[in-house]
Amino acid sequence: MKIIWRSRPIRRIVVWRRSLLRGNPYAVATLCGFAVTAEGAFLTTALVRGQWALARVFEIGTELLLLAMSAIAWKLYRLYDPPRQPRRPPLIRRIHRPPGAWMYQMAQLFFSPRTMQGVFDPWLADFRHEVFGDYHDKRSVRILVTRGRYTWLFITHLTAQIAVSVMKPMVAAWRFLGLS
Amino acid sequence: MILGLLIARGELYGLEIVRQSEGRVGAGTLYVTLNRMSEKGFVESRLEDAPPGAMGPPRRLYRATGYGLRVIRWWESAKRVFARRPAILGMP
Repeated sequence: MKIIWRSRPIRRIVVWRRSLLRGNPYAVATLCGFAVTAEGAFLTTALVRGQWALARVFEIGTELLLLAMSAIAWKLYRLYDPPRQPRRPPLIRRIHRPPGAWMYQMAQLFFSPRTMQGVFDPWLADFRHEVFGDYHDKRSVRILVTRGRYTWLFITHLTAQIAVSVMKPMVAAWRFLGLS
Repeated sequence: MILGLLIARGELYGLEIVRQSEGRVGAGTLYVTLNRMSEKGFVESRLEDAPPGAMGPPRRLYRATGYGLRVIRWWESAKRVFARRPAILGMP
């Protein structure tokens, strides 16, 4: 068995399409420039040479390529042929919670009301203004980035707060016992 | 740094301070610092008047107090003195 390298890209694509239509699982190999001389020739060659990993890579690659092509085709279909009948509104509408609501509830468990008023309330107000601004500008990626950034800040603060809450009585006890 | 910004720009809310500091003040530490400065009387705050149709809770606007202004002036003059006479700090 021999692997033929085809130099012309158009020819390569034609070969790949034909082999894909025939149900060839090594379409990616064909696309990469390896032309299949007979049915399963590449597989035989790969197995003979002990290139199991390469054969698996090509198999998985073919599956992923087919999946991606299906997804693109579905997107194009939905883009150019949208449903003519508008969808019926759902009977039960989902109630959206404002951004940061779960953080507020979490913070209430760990922070005192004074800290909540002085630190967390202005922080949350700024966060919500920033997110609502992004919603208004319809910048979906930026919304995710902002929410992720603030969530990370909240988690780090909460962790630090918990650490301090745990350490404070320990230090006080240490001092009380005169061990320092 | 924060006090300097508040004196220079007037009334600002937290996010504006972060933006105008050009990365020198982090959002993670700002609100805790502002809270402590408020407790010490360096800054005072009020809730903004939300415009009609605005969404979300009102933001908290911060501004420097007269005491904060005096403190920063004292700090600047102290820095100048220490720069002229490092021996005060025990430096050669």
